[in-house]
Amino acid sequence: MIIAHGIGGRTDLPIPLPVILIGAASVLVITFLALGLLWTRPRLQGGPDYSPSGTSVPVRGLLATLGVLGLALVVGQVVPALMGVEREPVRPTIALVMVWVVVWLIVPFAAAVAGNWYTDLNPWRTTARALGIGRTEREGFQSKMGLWPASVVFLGFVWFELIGSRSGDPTALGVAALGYTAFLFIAMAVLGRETGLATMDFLTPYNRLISSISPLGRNESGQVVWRGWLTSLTVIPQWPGMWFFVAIMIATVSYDGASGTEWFRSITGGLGDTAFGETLLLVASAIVIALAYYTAAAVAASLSHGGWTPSRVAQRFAHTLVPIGLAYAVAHYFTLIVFEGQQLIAAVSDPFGLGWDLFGTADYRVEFFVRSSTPIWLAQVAFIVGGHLVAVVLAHDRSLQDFGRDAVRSQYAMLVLMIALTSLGLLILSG
Amino acid sequence: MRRHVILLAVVVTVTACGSDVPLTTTTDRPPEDTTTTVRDVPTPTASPATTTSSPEITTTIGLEVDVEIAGGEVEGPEIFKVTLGEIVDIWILSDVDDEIHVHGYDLRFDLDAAAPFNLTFEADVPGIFEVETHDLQQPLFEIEVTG
Repeated sequence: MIIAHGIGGRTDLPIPLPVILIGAASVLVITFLALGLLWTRPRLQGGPDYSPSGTSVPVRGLLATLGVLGLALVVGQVVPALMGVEREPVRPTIALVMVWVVVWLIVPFAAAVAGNWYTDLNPWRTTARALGIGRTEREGFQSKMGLWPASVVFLGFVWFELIGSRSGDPTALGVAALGYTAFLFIAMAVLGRETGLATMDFLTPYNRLISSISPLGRNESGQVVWRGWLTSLTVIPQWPGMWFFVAIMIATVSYDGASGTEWFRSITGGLGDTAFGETLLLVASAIVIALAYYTAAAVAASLSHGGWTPSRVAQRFAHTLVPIGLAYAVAHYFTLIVFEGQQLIAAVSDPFGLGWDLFGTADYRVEFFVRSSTPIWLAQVAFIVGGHLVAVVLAHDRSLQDFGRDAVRSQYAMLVLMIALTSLGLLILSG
Repeated sequence: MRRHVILLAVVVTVTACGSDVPLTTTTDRPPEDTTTTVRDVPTPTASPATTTSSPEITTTIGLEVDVEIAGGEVEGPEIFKVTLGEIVDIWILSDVDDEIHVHGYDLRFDLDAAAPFNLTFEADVPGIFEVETHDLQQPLFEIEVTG
C-alpha cells in the first residue's frame, strides 16, 4: 500500500529465496500430515458450543463513542478545506491513519483474536439508531443478494486505496467518508438498518467473516464467552457470493503486493501505467482468483457422488478461504501497523494538521525498533503458511462432512488451489 | 524530463554527530571533500551533538543519487539499492520550488528552484522507502536499504 504523503512510504524488503523454499516445503509437509494422518472424521462442523455463563465486558457504549468520534475526525477533515485554512504539510493527519491503518487493518485483525467488535464500533449503526433510520428490515433481501453488493462496494474501496490518486489527501478522505455515510444512510433507510449494513457496508461482512476465526464470541445475553478457534467459521451463513467476496480479500492484497514487483510489471507491460489499466488489473486479479476457486469447486463436484453442483460446492467451501485472506493481509501489512501505526501518536495531538499540539505528542516520530529483516521475513512466511494450514484443515473437515468417502478425492483440486495461493503469497513477498 | 543517476562508492570524510541534529542540507554544491553532517535516525535519547568537534570517522557513501526535476516532472520512479549502515548522498536539481520527503526516515526539506539541493543521511533502517516531492504526482525515486 503506497499512499502519498501519509501511510505506506516504507515497505518490507523482499523475502530471500531460501526462506521462501523453507515456507513452501513446510506447506507440503503440513498438508500431507493434516490430511492423511490426523483427520479422519469431521471435528469442526458442529458449530460453537457457547457456555451459558460468560464475562460481562461493558465496553459497548465506549466502542460506539469511539466509532462515532473516529468518523467525525475523518469527515471533519473537510472543514479546514471549506474554511480555506492551510494545513501543515509535515504533519500526518489523523484521517490517513484512522482509515488506512485503524479501520482497514487493526480493527479486522484484532477481530480475528478478540471477536467482532466492529458491530459495536460501527458509527453508521450507532448514528442510524440514534436518528431512527431503517426501523423496518427488508425481509429476504440479504438471503437473495448475499455478498454481491458488498463485493462491489469492497472493490470500490480498494480502488480508492490503491488506484485513486487522492487516497493520501485528508480532504478527499473526508469527502469520501461523507459520501459513504450518505450511501449507507440511504441503504439503511431503504433496506432496514441491519439488512442495509450487512449487504452494503463491506466492513460489516469483512469483520464478521474474519471474527469467525476468533475463539471468543458473545452468548445471547451479550456476555463474552470462549467458543474455540474456528468453530464459528464453519457455521457462518453461506450468503450468495461469499466466495467472490473472499476472493477479493485475497486479490486486493495480491494486487497491492504484486504491482510493486518487477515480474508483475514485465508481465503486464505498460498496462499498469494508467489508472484505467490499473483498474482492469485489479478487477482481473479478483476474477482470476475467484475463477480458480470456482474451478476447484467444479472439480470437487464432478469427483463426488450425490448430485453436487459447482455453485453449491463453491458456497459450502467459501469459508475455508477466509484464513488465507487474513494471512495474506497480515503478512503484508503487519509492519505497516507496527511502524506507521505509530503516526497515530502524533496525529491525535494535531488531528487536522493545523499545527496544534493538544497532548504534546505532535512531534512524535516513527520508531523503527525492528532493525533486522530476518524476524519480519520469518513472521511473514509463518503467517502465509499458517493461513494455508488452517484453510486445508477447514476444507478437509468440510469435505469429510459433505462428501464422506469421496472426501479425499474431492479435495485434489482444492489442495492444488491452496498450494497455488500459498505459493503466490510467498512469491509476492519475495518481490 | 532528463534525469541523471550516478552510483558511486567513494570514501569521504564525514563528521559523526548526535541524533537530534537535523541533517545538513546545502543549497550550493560544495567543493570536494566537504564535511557533511550525518544524522543517526531516529533515537530520541541521543545527546546534542557538535558539528565540528566530534571525532572524524570514515564512512562509505553507498549511494549517490543525482536527480533533475525539469518542468516539474521526472521519469521513474527508479529503485536505488544501498547496504544498511552506508551513507546515501542525494543531489536534486529542480526548476520549480517544492518540498522533498524521504519516507520512513521522515526527512523533509524545501527544494529551492534557484539552487541545487543536497541531502546526506545514514541508511540505518532496512526496507524500501519512497522519496517524493510534494507536488509531483509520483515518487521521485525509491531507496532499497538491504542488510
